[in-house]
Amino acid sequence: MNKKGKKILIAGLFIFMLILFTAYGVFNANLNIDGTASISSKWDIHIRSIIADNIIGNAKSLSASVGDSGLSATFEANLISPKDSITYKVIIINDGTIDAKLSDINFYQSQSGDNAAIKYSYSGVDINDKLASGNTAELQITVTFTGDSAEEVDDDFENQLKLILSYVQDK
Amino acid sequence: MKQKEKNMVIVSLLVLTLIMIVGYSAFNANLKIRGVARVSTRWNVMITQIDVNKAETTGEGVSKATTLGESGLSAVFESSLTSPGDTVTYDVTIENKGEIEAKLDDMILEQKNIGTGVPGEKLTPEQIASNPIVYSYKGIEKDDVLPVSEQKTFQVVVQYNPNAHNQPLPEQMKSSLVMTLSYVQNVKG
Repeated sequence: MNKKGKKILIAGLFIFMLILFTAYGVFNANLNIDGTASISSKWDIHIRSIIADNIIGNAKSLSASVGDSGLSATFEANLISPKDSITYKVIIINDGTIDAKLSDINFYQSQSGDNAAIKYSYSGVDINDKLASGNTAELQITVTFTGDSAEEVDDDFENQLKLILSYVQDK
Repeated sequence: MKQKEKNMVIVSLLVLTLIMIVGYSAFNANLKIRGVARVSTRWNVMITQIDVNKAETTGEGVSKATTLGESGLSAVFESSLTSPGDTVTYDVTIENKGEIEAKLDDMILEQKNIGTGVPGEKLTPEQIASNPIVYSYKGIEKDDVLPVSEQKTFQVVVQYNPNAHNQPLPEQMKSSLVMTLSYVQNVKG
């Protein structure tokens, strides 16, 4: 092969190789799937207020307040004489967009025997009560001095209440 | 030879010489050969469809939009969830419209919470497991082969985490997903 022929062959091979490299470079594809999801609902069940609503006898309400998150409330009462009582009115609100249902009530008092001088009771709510979005429920908690005589009760006698209401989504 | 005859011979020789020079010049032609080579095979793997799978969309999950990119290299969806357990399922179809067998070489998923408008950090697998919005996929795996003229349909699922019991944080109220599928030529052997 003469010199000119060799040059033509080399050029041809070079061009062919360039095509090969270029073509191999584009044999891949990236497919992108982009998505966004939003939560459109709001779940918000909380205690809006607690007040001493009905005070009987010499009973005194020392305090009643709602915790910062609205998920708890506390009160402190002082009962002096038999039959003294205070009823606390608790307002529960469904401030979300999802209907709720009361699924469980956990009621516990530290002194629960029949002879306990102070007893608690509640009313206004029951298991399976529905609390629709935007609505409120009213719970009454009554603490009563049930003893026959103040002299029969220790000065520092106290009875603690723990009442837990469990709300779930009403489906 | 007479002078006149000599002159005629000289002129004739000159003319002949001139003709020979011109003729010789014309007898020198450059021959050109041209050619062009093309690669005739086509590489074309693309997304051809994205639809909401209503049968597998549960609760109050709603698909708000699906869009297929013009080039077939992208697809977009948008969904809305209401309660824990809600799902929205999308069917995504990929087709090999070229002449070269393809293989899924890599698959990357990136989820971020964007509820405040500012994208957060990419969520780790542990964070995703407890995140209110959870993305998942099924029906596709790395190294899946996509022969010529064939389709592959897989699913992308977005769910409101069924284990969520509290109102999500503001940044968790919206979450984004970028899923990148990298297809390459399937080289056998």
